[in-house]
Amino acid sequence: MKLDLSYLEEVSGGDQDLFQSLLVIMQDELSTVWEEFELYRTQTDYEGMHRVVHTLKSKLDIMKLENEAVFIRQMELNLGNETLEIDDHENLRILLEELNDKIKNI
Amino acid sequence: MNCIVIDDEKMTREIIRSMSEMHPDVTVLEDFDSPVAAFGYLTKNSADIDFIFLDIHLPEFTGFEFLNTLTTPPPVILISNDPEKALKAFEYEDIVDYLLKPIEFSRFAKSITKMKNYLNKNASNSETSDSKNESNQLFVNVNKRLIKIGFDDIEFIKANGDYVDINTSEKKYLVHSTMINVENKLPSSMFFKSHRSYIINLSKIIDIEDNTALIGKNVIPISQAKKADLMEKLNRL
Repeated sequence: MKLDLSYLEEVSGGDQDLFQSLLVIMQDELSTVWEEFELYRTQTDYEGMHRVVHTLKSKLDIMKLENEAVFIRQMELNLGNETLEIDDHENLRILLEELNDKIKNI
Repeated sequence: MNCIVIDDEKMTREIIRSMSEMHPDVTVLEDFDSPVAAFGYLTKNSADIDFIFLDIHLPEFTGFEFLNTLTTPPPVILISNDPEKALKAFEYEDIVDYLLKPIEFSRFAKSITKMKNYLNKNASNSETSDSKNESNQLFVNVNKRLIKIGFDDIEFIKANGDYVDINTSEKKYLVHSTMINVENKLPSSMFFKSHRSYIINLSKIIDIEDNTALIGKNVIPISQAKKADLMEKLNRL
């Protein structure tokens, strides 16, 4: 997994402070995704899980993580049909762990 | 143009704020993470808001459902990362454009131009209908009476919560309306929105100093973003 932050750089227009603050927002928002997802999962709230995954999709698009976005899109579709595959659940956990690890170390 | 942003993702709200700061024609007044939070602000400040950036996927209900709750929704630029939702947007006449996340600045700028044209068109349609009626006056409802105010008599109009103050040299009328409604009723050749809370009669300006205009004894603010447009409208030597 290789994070591409060129979009955030472009949006910041060369303003390093703005770039850093966007990065912090990204870190903060990503750090709670798994917790939120698990909360909805324990309540069997497919709508909630769908919304969490949908929000994650736009973050992956921002960091140009195309393969990961394809997986998330499929998972979003499945959740829309009230289906949560065991593999998807585990792959989401691995993806978020890796993503949080990478973004913390920027 | 003044707008608000409604999106549950802080990242998107910040990106729109940042792009708006880079664009001369748009100011973000406030941003909200849910339609419920935005509803109260929108009700109280509708006069100041020209349009909304609205996400489709929101926590309590969708952007479309939110629009259905508003009796007179301001024009909207929808934001989403679902291209397939764009089709539904065409069902709403107040949805002017549809931005896909992640938002590119060039596309954002195009949306702003579209919105500007949309608002100008609405204003000029109103102006055309005014000229067809050969109207040079406005009837306003004050204490259940319809009172005629000539355009020439109006010095400036100021937003006042859910009301507007129409100021003439003689009197001030408190009218239940929005700035955008009033702006649409006035000829753009004669009036100018100098600030989100002020519309001024160009012929009543005595002088302009820095970011203020003197009208009668009143000092009216001119927002930085509007100053160049105002200067273009004035017949200067």
